[in-house]
Amino acid sequence: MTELGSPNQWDVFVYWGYGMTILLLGGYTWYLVRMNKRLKEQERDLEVKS
Amino acid sequence: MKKLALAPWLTPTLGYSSVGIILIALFFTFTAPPDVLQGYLTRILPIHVGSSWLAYLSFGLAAAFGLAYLITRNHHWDRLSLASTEIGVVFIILSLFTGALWGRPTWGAYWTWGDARLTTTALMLMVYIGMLMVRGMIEDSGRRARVSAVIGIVASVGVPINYMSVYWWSTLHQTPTVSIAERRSALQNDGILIGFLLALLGFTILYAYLLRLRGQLAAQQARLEEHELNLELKGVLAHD
Repeated sequence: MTELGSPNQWDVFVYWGYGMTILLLGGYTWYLVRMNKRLKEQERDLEVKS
Repeated sequence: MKKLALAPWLTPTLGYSSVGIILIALFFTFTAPPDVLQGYLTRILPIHVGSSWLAYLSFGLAAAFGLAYLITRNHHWDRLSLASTEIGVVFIILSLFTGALWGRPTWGAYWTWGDARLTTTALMLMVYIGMLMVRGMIEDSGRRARVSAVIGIVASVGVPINYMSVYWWSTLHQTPTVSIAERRSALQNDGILIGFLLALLGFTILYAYLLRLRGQLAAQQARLEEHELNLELKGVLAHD
């Protein structure tokens, strides 16, 4: 820390933290959406087969 | 195929509530004045502590679901255990990343293997990733559920060890930011404290939402696998 209180040079780490959060949770959401889509396609295929 | 219709309104309600509460928490966090020592770095804490709490909750409940499976042999519990473990892995990674970003300006290092909290967290992450990999390698659903339930129960010992590590080893990581038992808070102003507590509530509801969502996907996957197997069996029998 350069001085007491803020703003200071380290505040950018806050935005890195939130950026990382958005990336990680966005990635997990994308994984769930893809899984849902794949399962729907699989269900359609099975209905055609049966 | 019949789909699960257990309170279908609950899943989106949990999702919207968690997002709403987390946004209110962020409003308080980002409008609070800077901390005298940490400046605006305290803004990372609601996410870091929230994700750590969610990882603890996920791994603790994964063990409870695993135990419920071993007692009842109902695959519903195994699917919830899988969902909970997966959510725990996502949030423990988030906890490690945000912790490292907070640690660099505060401690002067992103990471140190000499710290008990950091090292036990990394070990927990490896164990649970290993558990998910083991699940992926076992074809038989009964055996898969049994093995992962046992791993989940044994691995959950890491949760209290990880939590208590800051008291037992007294290394770099500080004791909890807010402690109800000790009646103290390291947060200097009300705005950041309210944001912090609301974030914990929001993350808890987010866990319930993700657990339902992932559990429903796992149930759908299991139904489709069973249906596919039945079709294959019918085909084999018709061919014979």
